[in-house]
Amino acid sequence: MSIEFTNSLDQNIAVLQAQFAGDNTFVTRETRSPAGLRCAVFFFDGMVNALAINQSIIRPLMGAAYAKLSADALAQSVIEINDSRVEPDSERMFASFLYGDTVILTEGDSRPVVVNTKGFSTRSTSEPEGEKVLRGPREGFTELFMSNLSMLRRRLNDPRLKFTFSRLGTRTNTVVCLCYLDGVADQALVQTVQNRLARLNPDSVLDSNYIAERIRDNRRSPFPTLGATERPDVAAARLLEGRVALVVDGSPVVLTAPCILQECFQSNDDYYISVEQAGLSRLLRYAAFLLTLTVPALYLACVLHHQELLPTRLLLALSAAQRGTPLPPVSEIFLLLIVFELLKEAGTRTPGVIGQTMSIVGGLVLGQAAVQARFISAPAVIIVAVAGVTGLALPKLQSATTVLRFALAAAAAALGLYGMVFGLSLILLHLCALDSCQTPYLLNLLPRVRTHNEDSYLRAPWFRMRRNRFLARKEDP
Amino acid sequence: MDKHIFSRWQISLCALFVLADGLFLPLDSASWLSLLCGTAAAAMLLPPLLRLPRPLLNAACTLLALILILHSIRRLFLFWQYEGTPAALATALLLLTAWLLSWRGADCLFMWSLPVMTAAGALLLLSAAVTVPDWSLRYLVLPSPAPFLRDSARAALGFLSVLLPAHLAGNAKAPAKGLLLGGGLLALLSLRALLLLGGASYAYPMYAAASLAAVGDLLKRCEIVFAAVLALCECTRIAVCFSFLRSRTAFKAAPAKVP
Amino acid sequence: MKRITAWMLLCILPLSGCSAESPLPVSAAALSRTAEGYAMTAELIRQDSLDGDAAPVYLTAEGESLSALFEDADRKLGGHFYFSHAETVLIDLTLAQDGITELAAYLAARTDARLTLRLVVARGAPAEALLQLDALGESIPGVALYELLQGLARRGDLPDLPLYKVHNALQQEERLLLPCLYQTEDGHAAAEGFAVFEQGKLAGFLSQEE
Repeated sequence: MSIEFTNSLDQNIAVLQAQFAGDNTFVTRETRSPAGLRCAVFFFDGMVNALAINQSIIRPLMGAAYAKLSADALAQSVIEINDSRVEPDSERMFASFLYGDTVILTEGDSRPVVVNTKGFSTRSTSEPEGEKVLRGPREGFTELFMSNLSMLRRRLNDPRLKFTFSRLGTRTNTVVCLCYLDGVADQALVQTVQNRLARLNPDSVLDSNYIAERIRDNRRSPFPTLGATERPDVAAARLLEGRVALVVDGSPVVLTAPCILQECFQSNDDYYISVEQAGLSRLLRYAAFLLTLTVPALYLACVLHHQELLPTRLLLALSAAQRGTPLPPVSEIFLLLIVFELLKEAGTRTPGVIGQTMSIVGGLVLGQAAVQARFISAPAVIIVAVAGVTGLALPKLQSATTVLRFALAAAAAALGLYGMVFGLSLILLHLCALDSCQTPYLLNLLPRVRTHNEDSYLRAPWFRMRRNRFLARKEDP
Repeated sequence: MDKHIFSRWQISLCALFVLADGLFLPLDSASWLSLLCGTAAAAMLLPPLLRLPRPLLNAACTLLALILILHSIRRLFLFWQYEGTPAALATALLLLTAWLLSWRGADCLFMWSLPVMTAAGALLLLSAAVTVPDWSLRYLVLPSPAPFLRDSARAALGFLSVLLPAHLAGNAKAPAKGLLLGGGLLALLSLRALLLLGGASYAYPMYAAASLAAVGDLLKRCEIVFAAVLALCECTRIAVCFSFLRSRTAFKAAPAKVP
Repeated sequence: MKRITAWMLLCILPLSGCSAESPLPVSAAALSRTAEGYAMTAELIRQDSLDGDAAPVYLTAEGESLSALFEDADRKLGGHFYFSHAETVLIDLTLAQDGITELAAYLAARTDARLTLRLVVARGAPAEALLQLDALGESIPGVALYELLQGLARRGDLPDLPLYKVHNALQQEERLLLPCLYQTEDGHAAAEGFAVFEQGKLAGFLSQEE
């Protein structure tokens, strides 16, 4: 959006009113001081702090003792707000204006004065639903950009913390901030992310995911190759480790890069509770990952191809449970996996208590009724429940486990353990081939580097952490 | 981060490559000893072989790769037919997996091999360990020299196929260690089969011996797990051959650095 | 989209043949020699519901050779003769006298037979009759037989001779002792004494003390 202002105030008012014709929140307030100073104040109703406009803009303008003032004099001597500036670039002026700032034009000067009067209401900070902790900080990012940056600044009280702004989205003109610790983050990494952002030309950016899907490596992979968090303590920890963070205006989700598989098994709690408890929890998460992927596949392999592996009594019980049900085990498992995903989706979309109740009703009552009606066999329900529940232990890998669970089950149904083993080896190969911003995805797990081992499979106690940086290469001066 | 091929990755890939023979080893009273001697001999012969003139080495490796692919497919196909697995479908999946393994590049294959070898080695050792109470030492007899020497030479010749991954790695030291690891495991499996089955004849003695691995009454007849692990080793072998043929390498792959 | 569809089809195609097979597992079998070749009575376990008890059912098969015998059993069950869970094979005197080398080799070569299978010689009654005797504490006589033999072997009252050891001994032409099974006065099966095999053929019996 670009407009050429002239020295005529009437003409400038007409131009702006034409530009925002049909927008009833657009407000124009003309003022004339007793000395004869004519000005026009423009703002959007609902986005500004009305008190600040009344007391710090309108009142000084009405009381000005001069008949004519330049924009510079207006910004410096009349307006009583800390952040006011003359903005000759109309694009930048519009970006601020559309975001809650007030524009003042005066007779005889074509340059507008932009005053920071942002005053829209926002959500207060709260603990993110998806990243709750038993112990530790409970603050979460909000949709308010500057507030999010302040949360980071509060935690990293270091002059080397850099915030580099850019704007993305031809229509939304969203502010994006690249944060990193200078001297800790690899400069090549910062450059890589900056280059990727510079290459983007999206129409709109309403959430950080709009950017994440565009700049991440291996876009088709079900594994996350870009980190995301709603917690400032996590984002700060990642910055300390030499990563970079992307804060997007309007989104409570902050992106971090690079992202490695190890992160998916970490939880915020790991660093706030005792090392033994954290170690056990992390081991359980590894087990949960293996179980959620392989349990349906193992069941199908045993039932369809390797019945000799099952103890006789168990085989009899499985056969008895299967007898009289209309579907073969493969269809049962696939159907139930889909139903589980549906229940999960419905539970997530349904508000609060109703969602929880519905999940319980769906899971227990439907499952029980379906088994009693001999529509499906009980072992299939148990298998899918185990796979589903263990999958919930790894929220960051949910999309990967959901997709791969189906693929492994199909491979095992076709070829038994051979199919499963080949499938698992291909998943591992995929992980070996993944990169995130030139960092191997299995960093710290496979290409083990001696100095970065304190937090790989398990976390070392804090007193043994030699450096709180797992990615950083440069020495901290 | 630079893509290094760590020496432990090379050890793992070469060990997996050697373990591919695990399902098909014959059984006699001295085969485990022949395997050990053959492994040691092949490990000693590997470095001088890698110093052969490049064109000769490339030609030999290309021929070796082609022979190994056909050999692996044939023997695994026959095994699957014997065992009752849909052989055509399994072979197709095996080739697809091997192709995808090679498609990602040699560095990825080497990296992949470390966790696979760790898991495969652990499973094979576990399957051997749980049968220890059933081992009968009376089957251990001294070998007669002539057949023993012949079998050792044959084993050494077979193990020299590790030249292929060694050539891909551009290094002899780590692959020789991998060969010793893989050969040692094969010897252990052969010894296990001997101490369990004695001199009785079986179509696939290693597979038959693995079927005796049991954990109480819960887990019995785990030979399918054993076979699946070794089929994956066979798949690795084919993937190494594909990798070599794809890059037609030697010159290209050799510069990989070992930190 | 085309690629995704192709992958999905590729995944689904191999599944087209997958269906639920609920075979009746064989728990034990009694084999005997007849004028025409071999006869087998196999004990299969059937359980119709999770609440119901498992019950034995018996199948008889005949064949000129061992492979024909098992094929006949397979044919009678519509291709679902499932021998993988069989743990005990009772050998009738007729078969023991004729020789068990071929039987041991055949069973060891079958991929579905367990190498831990136990061979036992029926004495004083036909093998198929002993197999069908009521068992104490177990509704499936074949399973009870295996538990009996396994327990005695663990206690050291019987030599621990699963199929793979029998097969090896017979191939090495070693002398072999197999446990004997007989019918007690109250109508149950019990193990007592040994059948001695020389060159794979029954050479006589030994009592427990001997």
